[in-house]
Amino acid sequence: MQVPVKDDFKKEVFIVIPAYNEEKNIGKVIEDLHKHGYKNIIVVDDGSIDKTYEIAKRKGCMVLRHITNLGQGAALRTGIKYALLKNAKVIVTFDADGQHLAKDIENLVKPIIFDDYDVVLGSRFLKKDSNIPIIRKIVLKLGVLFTRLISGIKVTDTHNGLRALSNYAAKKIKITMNGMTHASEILDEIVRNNLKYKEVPVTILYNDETLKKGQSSLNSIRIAIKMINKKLFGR
Amino acid sequence: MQPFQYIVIFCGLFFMYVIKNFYIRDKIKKETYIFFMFVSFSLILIGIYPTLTSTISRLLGIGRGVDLLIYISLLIIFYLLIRIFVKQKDLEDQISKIVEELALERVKKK
Repeated sequence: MQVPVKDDFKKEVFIVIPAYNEEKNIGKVIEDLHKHGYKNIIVVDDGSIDKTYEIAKRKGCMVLRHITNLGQGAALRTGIKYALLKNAKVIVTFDADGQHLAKDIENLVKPIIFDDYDVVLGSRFLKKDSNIPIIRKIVLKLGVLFTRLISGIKVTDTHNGLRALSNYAAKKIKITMNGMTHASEILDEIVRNNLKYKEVPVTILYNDETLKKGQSSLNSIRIAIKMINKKLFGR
Repeated sequence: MQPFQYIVIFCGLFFMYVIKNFYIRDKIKKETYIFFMFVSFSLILIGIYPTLTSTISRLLGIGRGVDLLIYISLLIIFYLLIRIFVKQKDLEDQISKIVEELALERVKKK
């Protein structure tokens, strides 16, 4: 058996970054990924009205642009579709706001490449060094309970944008929700398609900007209602 | 005939005129045209025979004719709302498809 060369697997990894008005962060995010050896970066500019597209282009990424803002789910759908056209072996979804760390990607990708997993999900609750605000923590924990009831999937973090999909899983998972509900929908799809999954610890960085942009508690209730509707009435 | 009856009949005729114009200009589908023409015609009928609603409401065990009209109106509005929500989701899906395909086509060309 040929022993894989260290970091050789990174050539097979495509990073999909949905971005909306992230001119302040996208440059640093891409640089961090480059520093860790990831060259196949797909940025999907979801109708930004700032310089997100231009900055991503300057950094040498593959950049797709939506002519109007559709939502993170739609941007991921476009990015994943393009990654599959490029025959990506592993697709990693990564946030554009600097909350995720490039060094965590290796632990997401290796189980897919070496251990035959279909999906590897990042969890902030498996690590103790994330500075999660208490209210956000409570809402997320309730989300975990709700997801367990609705989808039947046992995970510790239901709304983490950092995840890795095998080529097979990416083809099987159908994202139909344009907005933030896609995160819950992906978990539903893992169960529906009987995909082999695991969770690994990742770090989520919080600052004032990311907290403002993050999921409000009211939005979490909206997402819960949408998932119940999907269960009752189908796609 | 009471003044209110003339107002109701006039409203019914006016709605018929507006709906007919929308239909001629292809602004509404045939089924929508037929539905609203039926509603307008019912309005004219109620204007000519105002006690008609009271007769029907008594048969159904509802208090007054006006109550019957309110209940029917609410049911119709509820149904139309559901139709609108469904249509809105369909349109959203169609727009998404167009935007995504456009993004993919543009990057393929480069």
